[in-house]
Amino acid sequence: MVTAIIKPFVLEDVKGALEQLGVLGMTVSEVQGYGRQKGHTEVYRGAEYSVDFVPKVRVEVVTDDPTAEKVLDAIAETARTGKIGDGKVWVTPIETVVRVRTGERGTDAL
Amino acid sequence: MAGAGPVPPTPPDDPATDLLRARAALLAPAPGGRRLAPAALRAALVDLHDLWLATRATAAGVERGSALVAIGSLGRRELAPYSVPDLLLVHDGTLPGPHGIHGVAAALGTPLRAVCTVGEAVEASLVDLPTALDLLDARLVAGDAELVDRLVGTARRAWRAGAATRAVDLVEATHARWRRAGDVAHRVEPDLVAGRGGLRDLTLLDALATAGAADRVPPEVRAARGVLLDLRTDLHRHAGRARDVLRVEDLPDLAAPHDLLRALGGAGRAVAATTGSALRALRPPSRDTAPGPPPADLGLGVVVHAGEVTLARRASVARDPVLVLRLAAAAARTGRPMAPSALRRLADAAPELRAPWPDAARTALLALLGAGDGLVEVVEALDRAGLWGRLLPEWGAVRDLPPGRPRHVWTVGRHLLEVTRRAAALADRVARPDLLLLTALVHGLGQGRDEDPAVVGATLAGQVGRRLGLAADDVGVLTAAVRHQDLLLRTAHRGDPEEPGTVRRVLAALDGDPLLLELLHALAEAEARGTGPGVWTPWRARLLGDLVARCRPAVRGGAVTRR
Repeated sequence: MVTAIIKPFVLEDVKGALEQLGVLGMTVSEVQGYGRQKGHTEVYRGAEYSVDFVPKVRVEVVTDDPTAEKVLDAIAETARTGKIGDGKVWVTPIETVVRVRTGERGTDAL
Repeated sequence: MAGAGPVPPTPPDDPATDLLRARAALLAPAPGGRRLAPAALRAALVDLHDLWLATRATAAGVERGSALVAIGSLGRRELAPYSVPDLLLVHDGTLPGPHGIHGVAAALGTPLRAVCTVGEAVEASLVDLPTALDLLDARLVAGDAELVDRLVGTARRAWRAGAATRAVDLVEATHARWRRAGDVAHRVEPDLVAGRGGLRDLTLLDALATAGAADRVPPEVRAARGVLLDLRTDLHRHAGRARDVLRVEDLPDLAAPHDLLRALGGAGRAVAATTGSALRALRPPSRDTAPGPPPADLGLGVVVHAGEVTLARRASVARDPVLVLRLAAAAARTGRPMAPSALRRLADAAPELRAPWPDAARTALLALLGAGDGLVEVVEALDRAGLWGRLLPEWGAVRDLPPGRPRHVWTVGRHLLEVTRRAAALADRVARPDLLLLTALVHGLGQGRDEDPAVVGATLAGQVGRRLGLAADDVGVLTAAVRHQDLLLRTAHRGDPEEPGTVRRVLAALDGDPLLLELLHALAEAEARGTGPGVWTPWRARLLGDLVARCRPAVRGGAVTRR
């Protein structure tokens, strides 16, 4: 499974890039967090306010092993703006998968 | 219920296989794809179950001294395809057949709700409201008819005698159910049985009529029963299981979605209104008036009388076109219902409001829109009386319109009211709360057409603004706010807020107008809150807030500094 934490506004581009790879399914969640950018403070009209958690999008794609690396590369390239807070992508193994509707298992369920 | 309690069927082999096979045959399409009409299917299902259950019960020894009794939907002869028959085994102390109640349960292959004597059943009905209502529908299936006559007669007499003292419990239980299941008329995914305006309300109305506590059911409610039962029958048939909540994905398979929701909306509104009136009439007067202010003259032809907001005796119904708005605003503000007689008088005799509206009409409308929680019920009541459509003719196109977007809980018309209700709570965040309320009310009027809803909506908003007599500048703001209603959220989701170009694009669309920015920010929150639970999240608030915070100083010539 490929999991990515990315900036919300790159989601549409990431979706498009994955469609190009033939990946048509994904799970998307709204999340908040921070990495190296940490919480920062901003000053608006003389008042200082802190931005502890930044809105991000979490994308999860379950795919077979040969495709996983391509998905990872596609997400990393598409989500890159070059600015701090672009996010992370990682791959984790999955024991097995079942398609609920049909009961198919393993790669047949992907 | 008292007595021996629920008795499960004893499996070894399922004795109901032939019943299930016969039901499947009724549900299967005939050659050529023709299927039984919903009412014919229900009648056939009731006959099938009656015959099958009677045959089995008789064979198991249910005869003199005991009886198999149908309650619930089978008792009312309203059985839907996958409803489980609700059954009682009533006896006079004599156990039926050689194997007693377990023999009967095994023969029927379906759990018995209870095994009890007439006395035990009636005693249970005195302490348990659902049991009391169930027994009103009791009907003999097999066995001792005299015993069932006694059960029905005693249960009905007990209900009539005790209904008045159980009014408070009945009202509270009904309101709790409505809160849980929502409105049949306005939910995109209505609960046809438990929802407000659904089949359980019809059962309640029948029970109140039995007790002499409600008038005879009016014709539109009789028609509504058919609509709800037919849709439930079709839904069971389509889903292949007992399911009473209509889902968005079912709509296109059952009928044209807007036609279906329009029919359901009409039925749900009729049932909900009649049930609401019946329950209000049921409440002891002291309970209704105690918490609120005493009956009072609210001024300008509107008074509170017997817990309802109504017209003063001297009100000039035929000469005062603003009276309807003042009545509605007073009702929304005080949280009291409008008297049906007042609405009928206004529907019959009130003159049309000519465009442009006078200041007094606009003020009363804004008071209504800004009333908060009281708004929705009042507008629904105006709409049922045919008065809301006169004030806002554009409403007809969105009244029962299914939303074109996911996550919406309400039909479009109700959604607009829910958004307006939420906007009222945000009024102190904007310099022009009047424009926020009006934008909230009209922002979705362009839905349901082939063109871009925001473009159509902007045209309609301009039309409404001019009719209401807004100043030209205000009409411009209203039009632009509707035209750009999605701008902030769309940009926040798809634009890099750190790119100066993103802020520039927002400001260019809004012509640098700080009022528009403020209105759209508040509208976005009200819109999300009025869409459904979980749509307005801290995540979304932060995303949007960040974009607005970056736009604000640029509108006013300042700049955000970051460190």
